[in-house]
Amino acid sequence: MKTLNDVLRESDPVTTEVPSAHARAATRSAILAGPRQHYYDRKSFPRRRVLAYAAVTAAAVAAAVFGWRHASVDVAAMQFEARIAESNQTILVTSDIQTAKVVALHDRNKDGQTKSTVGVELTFTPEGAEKMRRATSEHVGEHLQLIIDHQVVMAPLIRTPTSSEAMLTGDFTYEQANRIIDGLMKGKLELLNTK
Amino acid sequence: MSTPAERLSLLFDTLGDKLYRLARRLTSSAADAEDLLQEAFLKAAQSAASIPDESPRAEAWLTRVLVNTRRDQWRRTGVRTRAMPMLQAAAPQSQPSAESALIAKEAVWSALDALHPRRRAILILAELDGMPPEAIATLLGLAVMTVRWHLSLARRELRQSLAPFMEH
Repeated sequence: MKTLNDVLRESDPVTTEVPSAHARAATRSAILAGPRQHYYDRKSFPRRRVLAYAAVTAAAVAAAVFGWRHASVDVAAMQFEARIAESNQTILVTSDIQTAKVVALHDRNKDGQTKSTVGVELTFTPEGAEKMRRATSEHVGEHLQLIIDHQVVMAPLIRTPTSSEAMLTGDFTYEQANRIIDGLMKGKLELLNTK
Repeated sequence: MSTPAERLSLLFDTLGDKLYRLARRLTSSAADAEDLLQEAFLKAAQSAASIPDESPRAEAWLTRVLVNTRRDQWRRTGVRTRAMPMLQAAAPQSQPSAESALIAKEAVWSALDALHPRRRAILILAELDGMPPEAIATLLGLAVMTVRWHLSLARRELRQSLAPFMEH
């Protein structure tokens, strides 16, 4: 059994290597020839100027953040709510949305013709998904209302428990679906900014 | 009254070998050690007026410059992040051989590379130069308690990472 000291001594390069006299002479010459140019020529940056630059940068960042927050609040935001229709129990709100995206849905009717519609796919935050899972487990057979800006967009029957995502379908055009997404995301941003 | 160049020359001639040994134990190659020694002396030349007159204090001053220079290099290269995977990859062989000795040596130096240079310097001065914590504290300008603390952590870190090599 070796000690740490044994292991370190066995690996000590100083005991096994022979220092190069040539390398040492070169080092000595380099030192005595004077410092490398950049050591002496490096001009010190005045502290006052550094502080001035830092202040200007901080002010610019603060202005940008302030502008961004206010710009975000000024746009039309939408509010989302999911609730159980029968009991009016709210399950999810805008802040529970993680992402929203437009998806194209293709259905084939009984004549074999394909009909394409546009939907909005929502994914929920982990906390939102858990709330959704719990509520839909307890209310199978009831209706879930998906509401945007106090308008019921959909009221699907809860057949099985669901959790992390939901699909809003309706007679949306692509532009309408995109507006919903923008509105929901801006609504979420507005909530975050007001917190 | 000697000129700064003469003083630097005298310091290099008297302390060069000793500081090179420390530099070599703080770096991974002889060339890196020479570079470190040179950089430390060039920094010393920048503030030649600050170098204490008495020899022991001048040695302590130059040692601190060298360790701080190594610390700056270490921060720049981020060697700590690279060292551990190398260490894990190097497993000891059951039969002692030249190859396993080389693997062990590589593992030791990878583990040392993962230590902060100040902690590494303290460990080296204690383990390889046999210096007591009080002397290390004086040399590096630290409190004795700080030295003991670094020493304890360095030993623990190395024992953990080198455990497979200490069983043989």
